[in-house]
Amino acid sequence: MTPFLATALSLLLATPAPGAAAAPESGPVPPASAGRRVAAGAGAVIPGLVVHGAGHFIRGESDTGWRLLAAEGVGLGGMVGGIAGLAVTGASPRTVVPLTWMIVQGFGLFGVSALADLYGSVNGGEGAGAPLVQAPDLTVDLGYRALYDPVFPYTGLGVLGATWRHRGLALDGRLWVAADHDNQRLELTPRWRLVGPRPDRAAQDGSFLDLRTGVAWHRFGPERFQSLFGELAARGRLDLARVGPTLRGSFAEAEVGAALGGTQHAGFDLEGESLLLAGFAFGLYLGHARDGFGEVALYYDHRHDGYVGGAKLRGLGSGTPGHFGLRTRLRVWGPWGVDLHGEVGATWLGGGSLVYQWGGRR
Amino acid sequence: MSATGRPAVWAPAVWALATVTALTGCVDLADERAANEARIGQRRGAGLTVAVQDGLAAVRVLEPGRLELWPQAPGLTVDLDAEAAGEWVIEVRNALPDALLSGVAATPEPRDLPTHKAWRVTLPAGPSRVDLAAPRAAAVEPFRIIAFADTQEALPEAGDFFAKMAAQRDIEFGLVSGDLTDMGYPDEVRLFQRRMEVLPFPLYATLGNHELGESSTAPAFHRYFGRASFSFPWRGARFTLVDSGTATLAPRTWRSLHTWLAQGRDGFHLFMTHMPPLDVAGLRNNAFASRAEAHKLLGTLARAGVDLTIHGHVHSFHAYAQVGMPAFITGGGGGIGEAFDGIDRHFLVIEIDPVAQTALPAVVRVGAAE
Repeated sequence: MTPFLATALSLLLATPAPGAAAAPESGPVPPASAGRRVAAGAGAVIPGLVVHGAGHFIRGESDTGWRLLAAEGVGLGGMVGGIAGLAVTGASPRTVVPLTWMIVQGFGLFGVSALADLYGSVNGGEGAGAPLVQAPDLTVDLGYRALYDPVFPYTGLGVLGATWRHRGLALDGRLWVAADHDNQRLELTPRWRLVGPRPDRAAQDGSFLDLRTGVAWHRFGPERFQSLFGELAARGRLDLARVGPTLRGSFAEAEVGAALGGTQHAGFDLEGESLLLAGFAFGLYLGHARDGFGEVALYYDHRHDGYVGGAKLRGLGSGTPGHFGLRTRLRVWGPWGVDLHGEVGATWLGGGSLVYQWGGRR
Repeated sequence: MSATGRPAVWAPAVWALATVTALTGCVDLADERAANEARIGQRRGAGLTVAVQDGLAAVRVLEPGRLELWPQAPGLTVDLDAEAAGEWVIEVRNALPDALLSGVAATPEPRDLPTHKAWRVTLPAGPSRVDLAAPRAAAVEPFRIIAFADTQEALPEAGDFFAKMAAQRDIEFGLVSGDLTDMGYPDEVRLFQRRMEVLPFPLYATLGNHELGESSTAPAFHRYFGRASFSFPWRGARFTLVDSGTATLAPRTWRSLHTWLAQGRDGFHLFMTHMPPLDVAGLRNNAFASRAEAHKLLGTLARAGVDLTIHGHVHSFHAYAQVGMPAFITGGGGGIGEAFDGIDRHFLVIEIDPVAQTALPAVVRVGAAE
């Protein structure tokens, strides 16, 4: 985790809302009239998109409002500092990694504080969903993703994934196979949970910190090349009930890391390659049933490999930014559920999976 | 969430809508631009229909008795169809100084700049064809070109940069791998044209992301300098420049590229984009948006026997190899320079031997970097 990210998260965590940090689910939610909620929601848009926390000030939750405003300030500082650093150094390879992490996580804090203000102003934590405080032992998913890629001819992918957990260890595997093209991608990602819910040990909420390694292999048959990356990253989640009671049921995530590997074209030597990993997310827990599961998250992923790659933007900014996505996992019946998943980068990707989840509780 | 405890759907729906709204169409931006570009070189007006073969010139002016072209190649073939016989002046800016017009009776007219040529011609009623070519075009022997990129915000103070290029001996033409301007506004493009006036040779340019600040689909670059994706032969070699301003190649450009690669397979072939498919510093990714597309492009180029790739966008100089092909990044036109790299403003002088199929580059530093 970068010092910047650590500082930002510490700022949020350092002053927990009364009654929120110790028992997020039982914390009191101050009532608000419908009119107040509408006014707060409007305030979270104007001027809230500029002054994050404005909705909470209108709602009378000034402590949370100040924390969101502080998060916005830290986020803006990260973005401005990172961009200024890139300008001063001309994006030198020697300094670009921490500066890019600053920009991505700064943008993440900026975005998360805006969305959290909107969520908390309107919803106020009432009826919020609950996180898994004990992680499932096994999750398996099988599904299909439709693709629109202007450059590659594939239009659909079958995807099979599984996660097995034992104590703090989680082994993730995911196989993508193009339905109409000779193209396959395999991701194997062992993770170690440093803090947060495990199968053998319940946590106080859904917050976690994972250290993960991984291997990603991707083969493009007709194009006659294949890539192999090894990666190392840290990913954390913070339940935003720790920031304020009105944010109960929402969470933020951040990730930093790097990948090293290479690509081999048929008939040519292997050439080395590297990839910066970074990302953030804002999400909501869905549902309450003790044996259920469900969440939805909007996220940014800085990866440029895989099927989606980085964003193609109007104007000057294409190339460096990664892609955006929306993922939803929702229990339907018993241990069974569905994933709905969409991403936009250099490609559109969207579809769903059937999910089986064994273990875990709220 | 609603007060009843049921999951509310508004939040993800709003986020999804916002995301979709923000990014809709961006996946196909480059293809919209390529579709607009396909119309460059075709114009009808003032009793004359003009069709520049392969779109290798922008039709800058078409008014009664006067046609002005801006070529993106040393040689041009232009099909004309006049409604009535008459006298016309054909002006060609950005031309080789010794270019000749053939196909119709043509009388040269003097102009102030070596790269500004003009001929008075009498066109018959109906179709006719004119060719613009230099006498040495077919002589397959070594020659020298210049390559540079990224003048950007330094363009107003780039007089010394262009003067230094003008002082180089025996340069046939220059290739610009994008980011001529800071935002792509017409006044910036016109300023670049004025800077070029000191040069005794033409420049052929592709666009960069900084040409897309005003418009991503119909940039001023198109109106002034023509297509950003094009290919031309010269003295036994082939030069292919491709629009990568949106960190991708448009599907239409991919289709053209396959044709150009086939045409250049047997000789020396130089390929140029603004954005490098892969950044030399992968963690930075000042490169194509998709690694998959970058590798698809590099594999395609390598298997087609491309001999050299040149890129800009990164404000430094790097010599490296991509899928076995020699590659240069030369982004020393004056945009904010990469720190700690030991190089500042610069351009490349490249001696190309089309017989041996080799290219020998020399870095020429400018200003404080000399």
